[in-house]
Amino acid sequence: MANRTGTLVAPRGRWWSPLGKDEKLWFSMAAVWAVAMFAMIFFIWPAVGDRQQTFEGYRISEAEFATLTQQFIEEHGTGENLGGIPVVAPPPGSDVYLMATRFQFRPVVQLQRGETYRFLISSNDVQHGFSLQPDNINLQVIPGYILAVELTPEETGEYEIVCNEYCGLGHHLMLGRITVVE
Amino acid sequence: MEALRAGSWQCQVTGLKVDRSAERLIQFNAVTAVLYLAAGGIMAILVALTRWDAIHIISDPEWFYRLVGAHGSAMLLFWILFFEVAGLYFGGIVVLNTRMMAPIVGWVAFALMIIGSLGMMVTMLTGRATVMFTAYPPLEASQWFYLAYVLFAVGALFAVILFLVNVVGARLRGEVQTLPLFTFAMLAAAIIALFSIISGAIAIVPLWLKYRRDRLCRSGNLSAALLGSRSRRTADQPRGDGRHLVRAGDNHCWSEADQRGAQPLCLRALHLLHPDGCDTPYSGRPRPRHLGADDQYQLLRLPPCSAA
Repeated sequence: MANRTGTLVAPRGRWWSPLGKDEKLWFSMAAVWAVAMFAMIFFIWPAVGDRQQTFEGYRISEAEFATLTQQFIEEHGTGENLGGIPVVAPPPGSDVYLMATRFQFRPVVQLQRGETYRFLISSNDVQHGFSLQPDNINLQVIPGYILAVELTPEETGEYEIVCNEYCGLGHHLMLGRITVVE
Repeated sequence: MEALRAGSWQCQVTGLKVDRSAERLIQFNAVTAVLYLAAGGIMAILVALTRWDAIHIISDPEWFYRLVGAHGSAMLLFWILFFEVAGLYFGGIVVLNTRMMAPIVGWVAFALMIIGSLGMMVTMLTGRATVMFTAYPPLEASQWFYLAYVLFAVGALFAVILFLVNVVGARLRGEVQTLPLFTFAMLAAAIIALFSIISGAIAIVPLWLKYRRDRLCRSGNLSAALLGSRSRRTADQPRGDGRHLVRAGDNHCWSEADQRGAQPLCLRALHLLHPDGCDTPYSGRPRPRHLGADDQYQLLRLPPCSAA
């Protein structure tokens, strides 16, 4: 079987000389595509993409963040609650504390259309996900770290926050709400 | 044509001399892989039929998560790694037309992988590890889950190293010069597997030790458990030698009297791994895996969004 060729036998001579025409074509296409993808990920989309999130991260203890969220709820709470979660209506331009905890997002936030808010998002137990639907903005929520991200609602309506990181047996019930009013 | 070696037979189609111990290992690993593929596939069907609202075959969310976790591990770890190991032995020994060195290591690897994968499946399906792929802190699984994980990883590591040893050995014996493409591909896969298994072990081993320690700290039974006597002395019960084990939940593993007393060697070893040992109060709270009556979690249901 010495004259066999294929993937199961050792190539004869040096496999790269001469390099076949199709191999040269394949290799150059792969090389060009690799460079193009690299450029898209690191240079093109960050410059022209309008869905890029820019955010800052800070360290914070889980207990401290829970206290800050509670203070925020007491300060700006409307007194109402939605399914047992307090509703807050923070003034435009202010900081919004949003705490992910098994298995809810506290509080329910009421925003005004066209105003910019700085969301400070963290978890006080395990890792969670923040997925704003139907706009599909996705962030990771990690205990011990604040994620600060600026959001400007452009349309009124109700937005759902879905936890998209498995966080325990009640994960599928973990929903939050952002309401945007005029 | 040279004479056949003992313990091998010649394939009539390819003319390759097939080492019998390699053949057995390939068969065992490949069959196990396909069994895991079948199990993972059945669980995938159950998961898919649950996600399909009209059927929703599994109504218990806990069972759903158990099946998702077990399905993921069966498909992404067990099926792939068992089959890769079969491929490694095929590419590294049969294709190179050489004999197998140290087949015993292959059997040890297979045994470790079987024990580890079965241990993971059992802990996941019995609800001791419904952590899915977020097994890292602070979502906590049973310590046996991490131990099984480590055993599986070590087994796979043994198999990958055995392949590398066999390929290098065949090369040193002058039986192979340039590798056939299949073996070359398996070599690349082996290098990737080596990196990922070692980094996985680096992540999981400290986790297992930590959770083991935490669990024992919480039960207040560290010295007893480490010494191997599965003693159930917990509440302030005198041990007869003047030392007291503290209550569970007191956040200290052993009382001051215990600390001043002679520490068993295994405790000192644990201190080397975790310098803070249990001397510092255990700060984490127990993290329940189930939503039982003891859990402090509220399950809230928000009303649906009003139509936009």
